[in-house]
Amino acid sequence: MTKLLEVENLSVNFDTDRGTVQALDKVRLTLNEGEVVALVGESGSGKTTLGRAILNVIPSPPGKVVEGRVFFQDRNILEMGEKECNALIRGKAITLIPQDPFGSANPLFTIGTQLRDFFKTSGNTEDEMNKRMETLLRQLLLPSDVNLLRKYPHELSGGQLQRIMIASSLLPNPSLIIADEPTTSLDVTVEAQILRLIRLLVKEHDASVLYITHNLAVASRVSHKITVMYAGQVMESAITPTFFANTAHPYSKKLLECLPNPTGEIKDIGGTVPNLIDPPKGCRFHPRCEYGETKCYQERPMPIEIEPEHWVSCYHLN
Amino acid sequence: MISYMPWVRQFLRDRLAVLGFFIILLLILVAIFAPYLAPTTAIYDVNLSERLQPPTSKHLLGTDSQGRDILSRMIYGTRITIIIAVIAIGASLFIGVPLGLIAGYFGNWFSEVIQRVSDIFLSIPQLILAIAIAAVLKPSITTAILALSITYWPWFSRLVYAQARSLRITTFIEATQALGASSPRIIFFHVLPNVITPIIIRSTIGMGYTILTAATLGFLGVGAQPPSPEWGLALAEAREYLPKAWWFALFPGLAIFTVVLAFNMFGDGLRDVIDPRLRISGK
Amino acid sequence: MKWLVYALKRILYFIPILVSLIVIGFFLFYLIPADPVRLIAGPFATPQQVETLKQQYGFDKPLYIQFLRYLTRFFHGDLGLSIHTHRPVMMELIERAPATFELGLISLIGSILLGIPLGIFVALRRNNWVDHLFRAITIGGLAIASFWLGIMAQLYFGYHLDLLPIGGRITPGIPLKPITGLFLLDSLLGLNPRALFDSFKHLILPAITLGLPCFATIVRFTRGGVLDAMKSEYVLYEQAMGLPRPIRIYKYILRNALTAPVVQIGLLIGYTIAGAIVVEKVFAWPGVGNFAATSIIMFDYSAILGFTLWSGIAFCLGTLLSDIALALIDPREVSR
Repeated sequence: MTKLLEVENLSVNFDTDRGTVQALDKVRLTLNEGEVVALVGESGSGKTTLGRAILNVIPSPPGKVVEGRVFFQDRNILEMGEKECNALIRGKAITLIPQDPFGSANPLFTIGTQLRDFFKTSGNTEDEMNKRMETLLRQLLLPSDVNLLRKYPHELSGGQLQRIMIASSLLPNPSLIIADEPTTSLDVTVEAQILRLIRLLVKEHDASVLYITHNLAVASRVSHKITVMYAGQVMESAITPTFFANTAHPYSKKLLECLPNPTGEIKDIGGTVPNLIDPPKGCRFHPRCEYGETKCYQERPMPIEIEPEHWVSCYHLN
Repeated sequence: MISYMPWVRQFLRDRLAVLGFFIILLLILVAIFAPYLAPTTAIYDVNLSERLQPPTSKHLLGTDSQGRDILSRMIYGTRITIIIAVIAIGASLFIGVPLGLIAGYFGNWFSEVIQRVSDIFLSIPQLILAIAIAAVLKPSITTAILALSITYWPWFSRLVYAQARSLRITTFIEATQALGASSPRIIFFHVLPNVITPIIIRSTIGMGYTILTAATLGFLGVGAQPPSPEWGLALAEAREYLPKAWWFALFPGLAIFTVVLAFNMFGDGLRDVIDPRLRISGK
Repeated sequence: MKWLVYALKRILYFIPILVSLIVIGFFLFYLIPADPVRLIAGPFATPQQVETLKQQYGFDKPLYIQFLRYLTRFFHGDLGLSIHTHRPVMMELIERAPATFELGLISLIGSILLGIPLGIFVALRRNNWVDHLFRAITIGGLAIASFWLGIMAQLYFGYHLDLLPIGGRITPGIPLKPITGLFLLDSLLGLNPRALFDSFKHLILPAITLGLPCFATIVRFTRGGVLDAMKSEYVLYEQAMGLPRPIRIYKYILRNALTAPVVQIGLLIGYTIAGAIVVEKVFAWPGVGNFAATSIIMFDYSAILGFTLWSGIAFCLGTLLSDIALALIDPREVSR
């Protein structure tokens, strides 16, 4: 298993009018070639920020990478300059499937124009790109004729646009795709279709995926490994079957309990997501954790490997 | 109850806005205490032997074409400025806000009518419509105020209409309706509070704009009439005596500039504090 | 195809406005005043003239006949007789239109050509003194009374420095063959550098005076547009997909940023039409605005009515043009 992506000790802050938001706190994440790793967490857990940090596109006036490294194919992306990132990484070796297709497609230009400009510098001829795009669109069950690309984003439906985004992410044959909640803004039926397609395409094109989602059920269907985040910290990470069979972290256990239950019971986690301007010390889940004790906020628990490839950051492991 | 302290603190950080606020305060004070602050209260007394004197220790800003002390006339002019601005905006609010609320909330044929009517008013540039109205009726400060109110109300009604309309469809209004609250009650207690913020912002910005337009009407001869010390009128009178009597033209215009600037700075600062999202919109 | 439909829709929307303008004109000038005939005849008319007018306009007849006569007159281009120039109002408007058009055009174009780059510059350089300069321009530029600015400019550049002319369009004595009525253009067409230079000198001060608020508005909205675009999700996506910075900024962000100022252009055209009255008066510029200013003082009602209608129509046309400009940039407008 060759390591493709290794995030080491990544901390990211954002300066706002109300204070400094500590969005990511010493995040560690590993992704191997050919793997689909699900990054699971509630809104505000920092998953999207992590995705952006990997691509080195954290907007720099408010945002700042305080510490940490992002190793991709043995190079630290965060140390690469803009030109290098654009030439090698962004839209080339690593691509992005954004969460909201309508928010991410520039409304003033046709899809075709935007795609052409993205991939102009990738070294392939326009013909090759067109052919490849056609194949991808067909695989994604979209009409593959050129006219689709001549349209403006607002002329397409959410499902269509998102599928085009997925096709775009596969177009340059990337090693890693960061999929940021790709099905969240779509209807459930469309979602099911797209999940199936993603699985297929990933296998076929031999791409690795960092699949960001808040939905554990989706994560279970799509991923090899699951990493759970809460309030900017990584809580647990395990191979998918192990995760469900042997859930270790209290927060992960709570997440499972929140899934729709055959008995129809609705459970939730008491409390609210903390304010990251003044986050809880130590383990950020401790205020809502039933096992929380003094240790938990004095010093943040270090990740322990309780079984092969199963890491947990918690003092309460039984 | 919402605490306003963080808003006030943020506002205080904006130095220009605070400056604007104090200038406005100064303006109000000068207007109220004009008789005590002005060197002379005889601002209408013609004194031809002293006409067109440059600034001296006796007349700090000089005298005008009729020998009247400019500084005193400027000071009394603040009263006119404030009266025109406040009444004109007040009347626009009084007409525009209810119309907008009703049109937005009920959204039936009535709202169509109001929309069309305000479109018509907005199809002629405001100044020109104001000129036409003021010219047709006998030009005076009162007609100027009337003309300004009639031409500015559509801005308020449009603003309020948009807000009321979007609120109507929200679930919380539906819930209130489901609970049996009557329409006027809903409008007054639920829709109006949400609309107040844009109204306040538009009013402050509108004040500056109205003062400028009022001065323009005065300058063109359809606003304040002689011997009023209104600033725009003073500038019109000053024109004939250029370039020699430069002070006559400089000070009234400077006064207008300062006041309008103050309202603009204050309004901008207010908007940044209350709703930075609105930053890019509005007149 | 969609464009055609859009253009037609906009033009159709224009028609009811035109109709209402005409009705307002009637209402304002014939219904409100206590004695409209007096007003139209003016303070110097003899009783016979008043009588003739009464008959001609039908003031002794029922309202609807008056309105019909008014409509007929309007569609024949008869806006009445100007009291102070003793010529048909329509003729005055037509003859003076090019002068105002030239002034307005140069002001607006100047504001746009200077304002947009400045707005972009201010948005991209995010340091303190640039921001303060920006605020000074935008807030200050919108607070200055144009007539005061004009007068001060005359005082300083005209009288004090004797650098620029105080008024008029061209120095009397310089020959210029009027082809379009736009002196700058005519000078170019007639290969007349002396006239070109002279007209330009006359044009500078009025154009700056008229254009300053437009300039301030455009800078402000361009800057806002650029800042908004830079913070947007789609620009982030473009960056994430490796779009090189120059293309990102000058093709994508720029077009998105321009929607904000373009929307303002309609309003600015309205301001220019209105502002021209004051600026033309101050600089003795022989345009429609000057005619309006004089008509106001002379209580020349037909002229004021004519001018009001003319402005309304010009404003609507201007708004139409700016809507079309917006649709050119933003394809979403066409589908709306």
